[in-house]
This record gives sequence, structure tokens and C-alpha cells, in this order.
Amino acid sequence: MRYFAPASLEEAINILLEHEGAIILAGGTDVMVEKRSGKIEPSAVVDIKKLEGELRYMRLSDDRLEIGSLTTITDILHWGKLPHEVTSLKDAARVFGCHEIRNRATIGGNIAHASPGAEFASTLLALDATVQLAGKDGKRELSMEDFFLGPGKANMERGEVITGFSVPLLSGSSSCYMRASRVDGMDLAIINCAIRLQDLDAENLAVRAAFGAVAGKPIRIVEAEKLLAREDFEGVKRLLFDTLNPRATSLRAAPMSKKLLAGNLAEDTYKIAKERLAG
Amino acid sequence: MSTIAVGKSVPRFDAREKVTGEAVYIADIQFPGTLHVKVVRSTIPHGIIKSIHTEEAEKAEGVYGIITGEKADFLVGICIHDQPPLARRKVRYVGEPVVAVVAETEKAAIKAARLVRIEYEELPHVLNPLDAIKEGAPLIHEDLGSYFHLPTFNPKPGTNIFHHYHVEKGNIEEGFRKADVIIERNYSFPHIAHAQIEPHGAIARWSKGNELHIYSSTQAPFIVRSVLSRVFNLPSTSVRVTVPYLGGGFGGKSDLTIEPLTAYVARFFPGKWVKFILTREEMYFGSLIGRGCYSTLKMGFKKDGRLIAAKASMHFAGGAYGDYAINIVTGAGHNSTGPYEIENVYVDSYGIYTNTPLVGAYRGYGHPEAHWQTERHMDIAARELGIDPVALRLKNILKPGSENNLGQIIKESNGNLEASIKIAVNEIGLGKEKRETEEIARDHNVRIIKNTSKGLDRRAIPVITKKEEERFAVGRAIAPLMKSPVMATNAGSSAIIKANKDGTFNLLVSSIDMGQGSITALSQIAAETLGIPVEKVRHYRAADTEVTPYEWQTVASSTTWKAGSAVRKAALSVLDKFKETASKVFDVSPSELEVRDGKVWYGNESIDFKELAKGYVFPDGHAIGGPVIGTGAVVPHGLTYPDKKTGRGELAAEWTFGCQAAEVLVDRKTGRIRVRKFVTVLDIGKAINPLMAKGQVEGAVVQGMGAALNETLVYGEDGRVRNASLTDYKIPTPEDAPEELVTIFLETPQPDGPFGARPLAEHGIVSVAPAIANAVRDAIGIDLYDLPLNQDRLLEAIYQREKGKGGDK
Repeated sequence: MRYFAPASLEEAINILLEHEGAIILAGGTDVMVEKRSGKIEPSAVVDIKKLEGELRYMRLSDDRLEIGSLTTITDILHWGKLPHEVTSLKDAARVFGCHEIRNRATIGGNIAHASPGAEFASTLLALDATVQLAGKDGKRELSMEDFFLGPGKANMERGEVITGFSVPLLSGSSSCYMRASRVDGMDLAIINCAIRLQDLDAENLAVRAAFGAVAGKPIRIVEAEKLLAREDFEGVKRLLFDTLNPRATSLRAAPMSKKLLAGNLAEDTYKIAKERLAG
Repeated sequence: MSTIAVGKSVPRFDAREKVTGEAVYIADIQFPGTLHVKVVRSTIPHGIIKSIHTEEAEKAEGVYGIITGEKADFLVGICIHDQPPLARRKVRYVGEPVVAVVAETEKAAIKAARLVRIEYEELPHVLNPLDAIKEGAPLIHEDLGSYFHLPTFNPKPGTNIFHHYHVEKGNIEEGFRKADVIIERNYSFPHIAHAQIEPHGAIARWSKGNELHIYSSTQAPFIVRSVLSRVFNLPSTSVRVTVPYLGGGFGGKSDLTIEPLTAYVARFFPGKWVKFILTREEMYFGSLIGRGCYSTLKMGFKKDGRLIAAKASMHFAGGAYGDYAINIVTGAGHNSTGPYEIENVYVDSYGIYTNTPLVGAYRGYGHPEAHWQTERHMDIAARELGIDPVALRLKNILKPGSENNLGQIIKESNGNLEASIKIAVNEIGLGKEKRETEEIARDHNVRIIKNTSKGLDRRAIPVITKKEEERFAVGRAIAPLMKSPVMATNAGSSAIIKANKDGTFNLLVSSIDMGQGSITALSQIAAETLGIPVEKVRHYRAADTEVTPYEWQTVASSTTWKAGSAVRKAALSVLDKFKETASKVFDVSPSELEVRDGKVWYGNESIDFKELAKGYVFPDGHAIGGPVIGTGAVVPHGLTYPDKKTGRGELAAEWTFGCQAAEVLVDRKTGRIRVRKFVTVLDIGKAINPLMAKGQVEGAVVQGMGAALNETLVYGEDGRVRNASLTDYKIPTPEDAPEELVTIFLETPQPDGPFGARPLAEHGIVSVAPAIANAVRDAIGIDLYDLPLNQDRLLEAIYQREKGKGGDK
């Protein structure tokens, strides 16, 4: 196995193209674990930490938040300028891993790993964010829906690097992320839920609701969004209980628990988002 | 009593070394030319080894040799010799070591290990002990009848039962006949892992002169020496066991684990250091695990609440080899009906072979299993009897003059259980009116030390914006406890203290400080006895069978109490020698001398310890006395073997009593239980170091919360541990600790303990699970009998009740 630490994005892309089976190393909180367990056997590791100058940023424009892929979870957690519309990013950062993991892990790595229960996957999906990729043919931008393909599978070509995320800041909107977990400290989500609300007019709300760890990839459930918009929480619970089909082999919770938890989590998440909308 | 060292919260001496990374642990030790071992483990739970193919692995780069169990002509064990160092003929659990690959580097060993192929003929297997005792269950040890075992153990050849311990008191049938209310329930406590920070390791070298030196992360260097000298037929002087700093034990490093394997493998490479360090994953199946108890408890009460009959039958899944679990079976039997005086008792405790990893000591040693059933049971009984659960317990507890199940009479000096319960009840808010705890202590004429720790902010607690009374339920409950050490009748401790010419002292013992703080506490005992500041005592940091004096092993919460007594005696013998020399200088009898402030006094005249340490030199140059070394030794008082028929006798060297209480918040929607407040009251005789004593209890409580709420080893149908990692086996983190942790020590002195101290270490874990489960019952009205009380279990129970299928409220 070879190790590279490119000094530019272009160099990183070239190395990735030259080495089939190469893997990108950012914070390493997933790569190191999976390499040690033998789950991955990369031919080369391309450490992109030297690209921090280019890829570690959080910037605000008029109506968007731009986040560089090497932004750490701690960066997000402690950024004083995070707009209230995207408080869900802070919710996700707050429960993410532990202090040490948050200091190392990057938002780009959390997304690239394409884990169905990743904190930022459902969060960015609910916020209608886009992911920006750079590759040999230049840049492209994908919606989160189009990015996630399945467990551990992302819509990334060989030689592509995630450079950042663009999050729309809708006026009159709010958001929240919550998860269920086995312990309050260092843990992975049993399931999670992220919601964005937007005031349409005095009576109507637009709801985007994304769920993690209930299927092979984070998903929006449009029917649930409609029920939440009507605040029909019993309806949401029934819907999710009846339609979700979580895998039975999870070590974190039984399928029954996930089916029961999903609706309750959606209700809680919605209620907090609603409160944030008001206040 | 005013003291200079004992009773003071001295910060631990090893703290700086440990937080800065200076402390040396087994994995840090690297001798030149060390060879590394990787073990190839069984992939099936039960079967015959048909063939082992090592040709390819032997040719791999860096490989020195491939070792199988074929040449091992011995069985390992202490109480029952039932285990080969590497599998021979048969494998009995997934993870059993079959082949050891020895290579120049760890990496080379790992690579070569992948090339070893083993063919098995699979046999039917059994994972649960209740299945393993059924007619026609697969027999895991065909040769049980031929194994050596100590006479106090009772294996049943031709079955999977490697030990049966039975206790009988009174007449059980008559007891139940007289009872007005009889309650019977089944309980279970699954297999759990210790999850010590430091994985097990050993490094062994055979000299060309056939002497063995082994470094090991063990709590029991003298047990390791004794077994290795037996199996290799060597005098004790030819086996040396050295123990560096230990990174957590919790019982999992007691007795033996990987040492016989390491020593056996190293023997093929004389002159070479051979190193074997387990991975984190191997810690879940390659060393020792804990608990695994399935029990039935039946109790008979009179209408007024008097408990008159108790029948307990406990089945322990001991794993594929029974030696390490065998005493847990007995210990659980001693305690199986809790801290109550009962006229008629009938206890069966069984150790049962299962095709699972090996069970060994785990903080609590049979007591958490016993209290899980008893303390849940008392709560259930109280409701059926219509009596307050606290009152029911107070009516039946062991008090001075009571006879316990073993026939021992409880003494005043065993500690104050009644006061412990009343204080716990008051602290958790179950009393009729809130009183000052100090006031209750005064009522009972007992000294207390109280401490409250606040938990961290919890990131993950849902902030519920609207008031949802229906959703959250608060519950409070208590669970008393008792604990006795389970030990050999001659489980001795000894200590050596050497005096230095500058008034400092070196202390040598072989008890292991695995984090519990014995280095500091034993130094305090030495300093207090010598009458000098604690900084003047240097506790040798390692244990070494060739250097440090005999210690049975560091288990049974016995170091402060038992090793501490030896240290006190050693310090007294130093003082005797000082006085003897000084008496010659003053030309008086030693009995006329006094010791204080680092000097020996005769009236107003004194001689400093410094002048006596190497022998006293008179002004003319002639010397007397000589270098001063003090020694001290103890064995437990008057222990006997159990009576063959009744299982009774002087089986417990002491008893520690206490009571725990929990306040929980149950989220009915998510099934999450959060422990808001947890109270532990223990009568520990004397807190030698209150700060560390509190730390012991808090650590035990949080560890016990892990087992109560989340922890369990998950086996696949194929017997594999499916959650062998810290990602999938969740232990509590600091954020999971209760918001409020209250620890209260009562100090009823223990006559044979140093400065009145009695055992304290494991105790804080004993009744954690029942206290929490009883509080959950109080909160949501659901009785749970199986651990852990995780989200799956709670959600299922709440769901079933709401559907009207089950539940009882």
C-alpha cells in the first residue's frame, strides 16, 4: 500500500486516477477503522489534509452557506456565525462521535463514506444541500438525493474529490436533527431524522423530512412530510410503522424498535423545528 | 483518632505517570529480537479437528515456526484441570486458539496466520446453559471424569455440569407449606465483557537452562507461577512472573488467561522473547468474559411479610472450560437469596459447560447475578403482599445475631445494613419526610462520609418543548446488598518494608494496582503505622514473584483489607526492630519506648529513624542492629471447607453490607431509560482514602449501569460473538453517568482490617441492575426479568402492553 500527501487538488485527482483502488484519507475516523478491520484493502491512501487551505472553510453569501469538505465537525459545532435556518447542522455536530472524533472527522468524509445513518447525510438531505465534486473533467454539483446510491456507495467517479457543500438559506425556514442512540456519549445512530420547515403563508408549511438508518441510504419520505405538514403525528407514526422495513441484522436495534422510534423521532424533530421557526 | 495518612484523600501516586504516558504497560515492553505470536482461532463452536495445514504459512516471510497443541502433554487449571493451552483433538468454542504462528514481526505473524487451513468435523453445539443440561445435549467434555479437581468441587461426569454447589438450611418443604404467599420467577443476566482499556498481553522467554521468565498483564502473578511450574514440572524458583502496570482488570485478568499458551509457544524458541498481545476484538472471545446466569427463585412469605422459605436455582454458562467460573458458582450460591435471614433455604448453583468463550471473574463475582434475582423478587413480593418494599426488606434483613444461609452469625462489626437502607431511602426521596442523612446516622450511632458528584451535560437528551407528562415517567427504588469475598482458606498476603538511611521506606507487595489505587492506599497504611508523612513511602510499582512477597491474587476486593493488614504488620515489625535497637542505646526495655514523628522516644530523649535504619552507630564507631527490614503476613481468619451435605460452614471471611437506590426517567415513547440519580451506601469500616474509595464506587456504579441498560454479548446461531468491538458493544461514557451520583460510607470498624477497613471495590456494582429495574417498575409499571433493559426490550414491553396483550398495571 502506498501513501501520498498531495499539495494540490489537481495532484490529488491525478494520483487517484493513477492508482486503481486508492482511497481518500481526510480525518481518517472511518478509513483507519475499516482498514484495520480488513473491510477495505486500498492499494494507496491519498491523504488530502494538506488541502486544508483550500477545502476547510465556512462562508456565507446572500442566500447560501458554503462549507468546505475538510471542515471538521468541531469547526461546525463552534462556529459563531451559523445561521439559525441551518441549526440542524449544529444538532448533528453536537451528538457526533466524541470530542476526539469531532476534532478529526470532516463533513466531507462523513458524506463520502455514504453510511445510511451518517449524521450529516440526512441533515444535508433535509436542507436540500448540494455536494460539489472535482474531477479530471472539472467540477460538478449533485443534489444529495442523487449522491447517495446505497450502503457505502456514493455517486462518485474514480478520481473525484468532494470539495464542499452548498446549503440554501431559505427565508422563514428552520431545521432540526435528532437521533436515537444506545448511549448518550460516543455512539452511532440507531435511526435519525432531519427536518426543514419553511413558512409558505399564514397557514401552510413546507416540510422536508429525511431519515437515516431506516434503509440502505438516507431517504426523504414524502408521505411523511405531508402528514407532518398537517401535524398529523399519529398518521406519521402509523405510516412509518407500517411502511419501514429495516434490516433484521442490525446490532443497534431490532426492526420493531426502529419502526416504533421513527414516528416518535419525526414528531420530536418537527416540534423543535417548529419552535425554532417561531422563535 | 487524629491521623497523618489514613483517612486522607491523598491524590494517587501513579496519576502523573499515567496521564503523561510515562507508565509502562505490557504492550510497551519490547526486548531486542522479540518474536510475535498470532493465534489462529476456531471458526466453529464445537467439532473434531480433522487436519491442520501449515505448509504455506511456514513458507511465509518472517515466520519462525507454527505451533499446534499436539505436543502439549498437560491440562491447565487451578480448581479443575480441563483446558489445553492450544486446542487438542477438539475445539469447543468459536475463538478457541488452535494454532500459534510465531514470526519476526506482528505483521508477518498476521499474514502467515491467514495461510493456515484447519479442517473440522462439526459437532452439534449448545450456547445456553439451560439447553446444555437437557437430556441428549451435546457433551462438551467427554473426559470430565478423568480431570483433576480440588475436593471442594463437584463435577458430574457424563454431563455438562462441571460444578454443583448446594446449600441447605432448615426444611424447605416445610417452609413452603407454612407460607401464605409463594412467588416464583425466572431471571437472566447475559454474558458481558469487561472492556478494560488495556488488552491482555504476555511476553515469555525460556532460558537455555530451562528457566522461564514471563511478563504478563495479570492480577495473579503467584497463581500464574504456580500453574506454570506445575505444568512444566519446574521448581517455583525456575518460573519468574513479572507484572508491569495494569490498565484495568475488573477480574478479567485474574487466575490465568493467555499465560500458559504464551509459555508453551515460547518453549519452542529458547533464548527468544515471545510476545502475545490480544487485539481489542480478541478481548471479547480470546480472554475471559463475565456473568451468563439463568436462574429461578421461589420465595415463601407469611402474610405479615416474614420471609420463611427461599429456593434458588442458578445456572451459569461457564463457557467451554470451567476452571475460571467454578468459584463464581460457589460465590453466587453463598449470596443467592440476598441479605436476609431465612429459616428454610435450598440453593442449587450449577456451573455448566457451553460452547461459548470462557467466563471468569467479573467485578461482583456471582453477587450481581444473585442480587438481580433477589432484589427484583423482593420488590415483586412486596406488591403481592401489599407491603411497602422498604418495610418488607427491613423486616427480613440480616442483623447482629442473625444466622445467614451458611450458618454464620452476623456480628455488630459486620456493618450496619439497617442504617444503610434507611439512608439510601432518604437520599433517593422515598422516605415519608426528607431528613438530614447525618441525623439518621446519629440515630444509628454510625460515622458517615458523604459525597455527591454531578454528571456532565448530556448532549443527546431531547429537549422537549411542550409539557408531556404522559411521555416521561419518573421512578424510584432501592436494592440492598451484601458481599463476601470468595477465596481459598489460606489466601495469604505478605508485605516487606525496607528502611532507608534518610528516613524513607520502600514497600514491597505483590498486589496489583490495576487502577483501583492500592499503590496509594497501601502506602497510606504503611505511613500511618510508621507515623511518617505518606510521601516517605515508596511502593514498588511492579510485582515480581522473584522479588516481591507472596500474594494469593488481587481479587475479591481484598487488597486494602488483607494486603493492607500485612503491610500494617510489616510496618509494626519495622518499629519493633527500631525499638529493639533503641532500647540497647538507652539501655532500657523496648516496652518503655514510644514512637512518634519519625523518632523513637525514651522520655524526652529520642533517636531518629534515620539513625536506626542501617543499624545504630555509637559515637565510638561501633554499630548494632543492622539494616532494618520488616515483614508482615496474614491469612483469612478461620475459613473452613463447606460441609459435604449442607454446603455450609465458615465460608466467608467477612461481609460488607450496603444499599443502592436509583431514580430513573423513562421515556415511554423511545424506551430509553436514563438514570438521573444513583445512591450507594456502604458500610466499609474505614475509608483509608475517601477520594479513591468514592472513585471505586462511582466507577462500579457506571460499569453496572452499562450491564443494566445496554451490554450483552450477541451470539450468532453459529456461536460467533457478533458484537466484538467497541462500536457494537456499547459501554457507558462519561456523558451516560447519572446526573447525580451520591456515595455514602458508613464506618463501623472491621476488627481484623487495617484501621478498621473492610473490603470495598466490587461492591458498588452489586445491586445496580435491580435498583434500576425496580425504579423502572415504579415508573411505568412493567416488571422486567432479563438484562439488559435496553431500548428493544422496553419498547417491546410498552408496545405489547399498549396492545393489551401483556403488562400488569
